[in-house]
Amino acid sequence: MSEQPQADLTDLLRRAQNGDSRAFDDLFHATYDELRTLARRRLRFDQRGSLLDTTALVHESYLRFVAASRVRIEDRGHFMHFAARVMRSIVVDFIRERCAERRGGGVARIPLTSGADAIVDPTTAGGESEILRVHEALDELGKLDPKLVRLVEMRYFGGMTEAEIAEALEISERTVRRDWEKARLLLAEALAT
Amino acid sequence: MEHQPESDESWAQLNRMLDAVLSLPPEQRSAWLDTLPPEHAALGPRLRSLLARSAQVETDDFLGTLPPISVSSEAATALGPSTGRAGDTIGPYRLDRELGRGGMGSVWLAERVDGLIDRPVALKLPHAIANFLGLAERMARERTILAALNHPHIARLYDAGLTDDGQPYLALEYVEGQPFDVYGKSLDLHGRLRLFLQVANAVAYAHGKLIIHRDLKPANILVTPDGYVRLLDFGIAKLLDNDAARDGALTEFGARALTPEYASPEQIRGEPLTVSSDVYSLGVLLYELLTGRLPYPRKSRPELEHAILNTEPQRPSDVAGRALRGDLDTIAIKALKKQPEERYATANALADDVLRYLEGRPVLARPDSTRYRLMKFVGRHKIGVASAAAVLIAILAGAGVSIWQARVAIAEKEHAQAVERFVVSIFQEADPYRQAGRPLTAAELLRHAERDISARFADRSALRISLLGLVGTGLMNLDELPAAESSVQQAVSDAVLLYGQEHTETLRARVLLAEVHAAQRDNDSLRKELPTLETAAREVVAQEPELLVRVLKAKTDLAIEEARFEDGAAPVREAFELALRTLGPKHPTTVGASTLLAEAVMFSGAQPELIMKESQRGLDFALAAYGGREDGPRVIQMRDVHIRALEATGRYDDAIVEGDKIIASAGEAFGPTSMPVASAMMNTARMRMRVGDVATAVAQSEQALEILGAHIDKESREYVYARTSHALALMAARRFAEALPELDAMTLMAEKIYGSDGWDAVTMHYQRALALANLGRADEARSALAIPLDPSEEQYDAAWVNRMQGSVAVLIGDYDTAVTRLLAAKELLTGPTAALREPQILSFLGLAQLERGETAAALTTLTRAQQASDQLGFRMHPVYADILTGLGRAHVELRAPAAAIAPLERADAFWREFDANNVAGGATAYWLARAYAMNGRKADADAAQARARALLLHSPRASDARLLAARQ
Repeated sequence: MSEQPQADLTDLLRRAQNGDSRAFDDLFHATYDELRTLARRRLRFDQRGSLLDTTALVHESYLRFVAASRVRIEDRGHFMHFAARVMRSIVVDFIRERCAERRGGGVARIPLTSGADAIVDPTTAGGESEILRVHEALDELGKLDPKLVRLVEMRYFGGMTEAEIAEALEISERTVRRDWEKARLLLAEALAT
Repeated sequence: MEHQPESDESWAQLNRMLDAVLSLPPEQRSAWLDTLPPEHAALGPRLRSLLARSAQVETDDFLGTLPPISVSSEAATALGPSTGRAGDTIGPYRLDRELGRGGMGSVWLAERVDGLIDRPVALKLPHAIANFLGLAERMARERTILAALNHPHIARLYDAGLTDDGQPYLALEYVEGQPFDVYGKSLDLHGRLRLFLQVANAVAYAHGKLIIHRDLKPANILVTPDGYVRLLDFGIAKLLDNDAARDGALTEFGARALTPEYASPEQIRGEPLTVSSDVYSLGVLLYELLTGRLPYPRKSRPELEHAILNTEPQRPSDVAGRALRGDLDTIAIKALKKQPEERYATANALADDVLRYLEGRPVLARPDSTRYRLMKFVGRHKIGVASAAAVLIAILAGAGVSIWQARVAIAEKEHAQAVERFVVSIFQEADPYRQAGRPLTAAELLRHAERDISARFADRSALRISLLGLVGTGLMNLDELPAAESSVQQAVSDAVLLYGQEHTETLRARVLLAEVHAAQRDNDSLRKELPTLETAAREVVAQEPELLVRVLKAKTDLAIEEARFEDGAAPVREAFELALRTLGPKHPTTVGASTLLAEAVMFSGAQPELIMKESQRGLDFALAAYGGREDGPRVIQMRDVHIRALEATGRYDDAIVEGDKIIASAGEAFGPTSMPVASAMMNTARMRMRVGDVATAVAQSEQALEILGAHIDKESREYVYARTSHALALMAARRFAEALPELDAMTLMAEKIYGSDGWDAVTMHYQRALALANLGRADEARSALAIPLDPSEEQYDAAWVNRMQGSVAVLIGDYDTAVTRLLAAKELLTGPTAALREPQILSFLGLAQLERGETAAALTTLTRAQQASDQLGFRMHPVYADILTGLGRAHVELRAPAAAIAPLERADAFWREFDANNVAGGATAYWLARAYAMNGRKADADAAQARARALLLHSPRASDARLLAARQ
């Protein structure tokens, strides 16, 4: 982390929750860098070819901030909800960077299929494409129902459980299940075209 | 999208409709759509088309998880700054090359920059996740505990810390080997089980130090090329667990990385862990060893977790399709029980059962079952008349018998006075001048009294019964058991005739008889008597609680004697509580029950921390009852139990300290040349031998023997035992010529007492064999080993048998047999003392390998022997000197003379100080001379050679003769 004074994020969080977009921006920037670094380090240490465990990252970031006393433990739900949003950005950014690389930036060209060293693993190319398309569909959906988008972020990008989502959004688990089904149907429709 | 973007309003409507229809169960949705009211009908087609995907979305688990993003290492490097490259410095270590990566972090081969550890280490760099919530303090705290794990089968944790920029690191012993399951594939069933035993023993050792592994799995158990197990990451899971409250949680906060396949149900549930959790993981490992499969093969993590919590595993014999004996099934299933209380209580218990299977017999790894009778000491103590009465009363009172109290139902003053008169008269008649001019012993006094009673009180009367009971008690406490039995038996018959079968007086006499039987170890009689006695005692418990207390104590005695150790604690616990309530905490019977309870727990094979806790409780209790006086007789009795508890849990150093203290206390209480002192000296000497303090052990056992000889019958068990212990101490000090005649004599005596077959005879002959072999008398050694063995005997110790056979084989030149036996001995080591017994085995093994010319193998063996010895932290002693000499010799033979000098000089210095004229130092001096010569240090070489010759000339061993004849 940078050497800036470690401000208490709880206040920012609350304001961001209440719709203060300036607070949201500040919060976003504060956490984005941190999470990005974590994600990079995790990618380095993961076994080759394994997935970026966003769930762990989300939890990890929560802990990190609690440890630094910048978020209170009671705000866990809100924080993780928020971190899931950030995670979405990070993941999408990662994928876009990689696509840029493959188109010849920075890294030496490596043949498409040279066994374990291939950058482009045929099975994940499809996955990455899915992620990008979901991301775009969510942007669209966000114009209609931002709350639903938050739920998808938490579930898909953040890997949070129904209980955790219910806690964060302060709704019942039953509602979470119903809304999740709703979101999936809408996104399935969007991705089918 | 194929439809137009909605307006806000139409979206709101769609949203409401979706909410409504999705709240319905799937089978009702179609009907609901059919009955849409007209104002919403327009949305019908859209809704249907959305819902049509519902089934598909479920089965595909659409958006269920984030798809993998594959990143090669090059790309990852390009993406961000690297925190680990060869040559980087992490704390005091320099990275050499990466060894691997896992869910928790990466591992590097590294070296210490300042050379403080001269071996390469495995440096574990955990994820950032570890960098939270007080890791620094936790590491400091845990590091001392984890670094205290010194075991040949556990990889050491050397160091742990945080770099300035917050990167945590753990420096572990670097182990080259294959994971447990991979290595096991090349072995047969027995081989795999022996491997498993190594693991279980290491785990048991750590449990003894109160450290739980928490993450036992094949990847954490490496096997070196020569079949040696090393456990990794002991306790590290705890170190890295960043939530103290969720001790071992698997499902949150990044610990999803931990594999659930080997996790126990309580780990899955996130509950606090105990040693049972490790036992469970051992069960999974065992299951896999037996069947090649995991107990719950499931594809997805939630299914696996559910199975661990709820599904019973298939029996291994069903899975593996081979004829696994029923025992192995039972063992595996028991270790895998969902409830911790139903599993093996300790890793040791599990290891014992596996060992049982391997040997085809029941095995009990129990502490030494010889038990302690305080009064025996005083029994043969000669007394003068003047103090006879005091001694007698002390004897009886010390045993918890309150002579003058209402034991007698007819509590008449007259009766009591009559008893008193009689006792006094015994002593008046014990006029020394009438007894062949020598003082009487208390025992003789009582025997005399017994005969007297029959003469003086011909009628069966309450008085006679009382007196017989009294005398019987006294005789019992003096270990005059046949006489005691006859006295008390008479009392019982009298009581039956006088009072009838059901009377409390009769019950009292019968309880006393049961106690005599317990003292005699007459288990058959006890088994018959106790049930009825217990019932009867319970009926009168309100009036005579002490009777039930005594019956329950006898019940515990029986359980222990019959090796039903699990049944031992419950009766005496009840007895103790009853005695506490009714007799009070200071009553000798209560204290006796308290001590017996501690003893029973020790024998029950409970976990070490429980044994020690109970022993401490017993100690505190006894001390409180005696006003803090450490030399109270009952306190000394409890202190003796305490020492044996220390011995049973492998804490020899502490046992020695306590032993020395008891010597002092007993000296004050009974006199410096008294029997209790001698006994304590002997026990402490035995313990000293085990930790390698041979010199003191010899001196102490010599002292003990001297004192004993003045007191007890030279044909008694105690004396034989003491003299044998002394002979063993002499053996340990390499004074074989002195030891052998002692052993010969004691073997004859032991055969007289214990019979010419059985375990005691075996041990004696084997020790003789070892002495004979050391004295170059090979044929006699061989015939001494020819005594038949019975592995089904309770005390049979396979590891010991093999070690002795192997050691003798080395000494008489039969190296092939030696290697086989010694390897077998190594595999069979079990229990808390395994690590202690290993160096001896390895030292002989190394010697055999050297003699066979397998120098490189010898070097490996002896290096490990040295490491194992170092880890035990004992002072220099002959076995260690042997190891050093072997190492030096190996280096000389491998033409690496520089490396040879240091160990040889150490060994040589040891012999010159310990026993300069002992031929055992001859070989050491010889090899030292060779090493000096190879290093060009001629003067030193000549001096050493001269010493060597002087010693070797007197050595009877063939190998030493060869050295003498060899040319430089």
